[in-house]
Amino acid sequence: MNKFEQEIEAYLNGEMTTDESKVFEQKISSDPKAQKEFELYREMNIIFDDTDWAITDASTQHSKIKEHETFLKSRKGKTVAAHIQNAEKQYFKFYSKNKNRRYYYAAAIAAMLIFGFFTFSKLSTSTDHQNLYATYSDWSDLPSLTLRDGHNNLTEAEKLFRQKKYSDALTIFQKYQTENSTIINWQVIVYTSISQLETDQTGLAIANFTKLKNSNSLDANRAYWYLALAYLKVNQLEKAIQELKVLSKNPSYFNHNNGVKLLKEIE
Amino acid sequence: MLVELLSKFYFDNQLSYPMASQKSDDFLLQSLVTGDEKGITEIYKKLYPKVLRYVCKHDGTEDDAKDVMQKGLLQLSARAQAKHFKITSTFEGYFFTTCKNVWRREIKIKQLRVTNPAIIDQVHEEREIALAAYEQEKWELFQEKLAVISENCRKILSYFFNKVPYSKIAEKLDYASENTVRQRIFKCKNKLKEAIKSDSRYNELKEL
Repeated sequence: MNKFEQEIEAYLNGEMTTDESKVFEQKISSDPKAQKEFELYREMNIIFDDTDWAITDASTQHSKIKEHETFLKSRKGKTVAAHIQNAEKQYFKFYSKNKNRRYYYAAAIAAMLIFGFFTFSKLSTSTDHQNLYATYSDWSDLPSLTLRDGHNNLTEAEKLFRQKKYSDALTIFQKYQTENSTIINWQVIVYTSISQLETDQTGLAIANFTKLKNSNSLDANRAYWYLALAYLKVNQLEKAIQELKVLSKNPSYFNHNNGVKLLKEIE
Repeated sequence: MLVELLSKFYFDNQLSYPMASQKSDDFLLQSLVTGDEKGITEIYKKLYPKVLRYVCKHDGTEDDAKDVMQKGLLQLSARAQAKHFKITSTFEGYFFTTCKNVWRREIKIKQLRVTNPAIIDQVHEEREIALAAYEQEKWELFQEKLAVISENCRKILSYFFNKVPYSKIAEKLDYASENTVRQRIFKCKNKLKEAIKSDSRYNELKEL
């Protein structure tokens, strides 16, 4: 057995003392060939582990990555992306048969016929949900955009937002996004989506929050709380509960405590 | 599980299948190259239910599944733009594997974000998909190399890489001692490493 390979093994398995690790790290950092060998071992350990995935450093400038990126940003790439979106819509509209839904409707109709008064009481609970939305939708704790970015228009939009002039704010936010389409500013997207939510464009708001949730943004976990409120607003209780359940399981997520509280109130 | 996956990979690569499905596979892949909506809808019909089931089984939601599906399609479209790109197994099997890996990637990123938020910068969607495509290509090369070493090596390594303790491996594969297991793993790993290193595609993926 080769000694260097034994060392790699010991290092990767965490069998070295701190001092030994330091010596080893120094050794590979001064020797490109050793570095390459080590890198391959490390990659094997991750790639062949079924529960792991080897993430590439996001700033890597490999020609293949650039090539893919250029394609995806090109007109053709954008067209393909749009067709994928459309295909998804087509699929869910015509082919995805939600068998439960039919039963759900039938049951709902039966319930309405039999328990007329029950549907009436349901109406009153839906106003309760609106009240809950009103109580919990406090946007004053949103981080200010002016602190992060000296952009004048954003300062103005934020001011309008704080004054609850949501549709005016929205116009500026949307303009900002079309002008700065190369960088996604998730902060601005949060402001935009809340403005949409407040101006009853809930569908758009939900779509944006979902995007946020699936993003790599540091603010991604905020999306659970916002989505819960958005669903609450349109009385999609089950979905609101779903988001709140995730939130209440993760204490590090934004607004965790309120999430727990709200979940209790709804249930 | 790795062994199963590999034998499937191997099997799919070796076996030819009827001309008709080859034709339909070409049509599906081509529809991603050109962005043909009808073809892509077909892919949804064939594969979305499978992807949904997989993602939900692995701690994901329906929204996650939709996202994985879209990312998988875009990734494959980007890769298939290269003229020499070819799928050697069935389209269905290939695309499903891609989606499984997309979901593994998402989970890994979520984990990384929890432990060290500074590591993961805000990356644009296009760049993220480009990175995923590159990683997928490397993953495929590594899997292909795992398929060329001996069956015995493959088996012991799949235990090793999936963190089965040496003592358990000795028990399962009937080795005399942990030390023999260690030595065997060392040899097999070396063979696998050499197979990967000597493939020009590995160096291509490494150089800038």
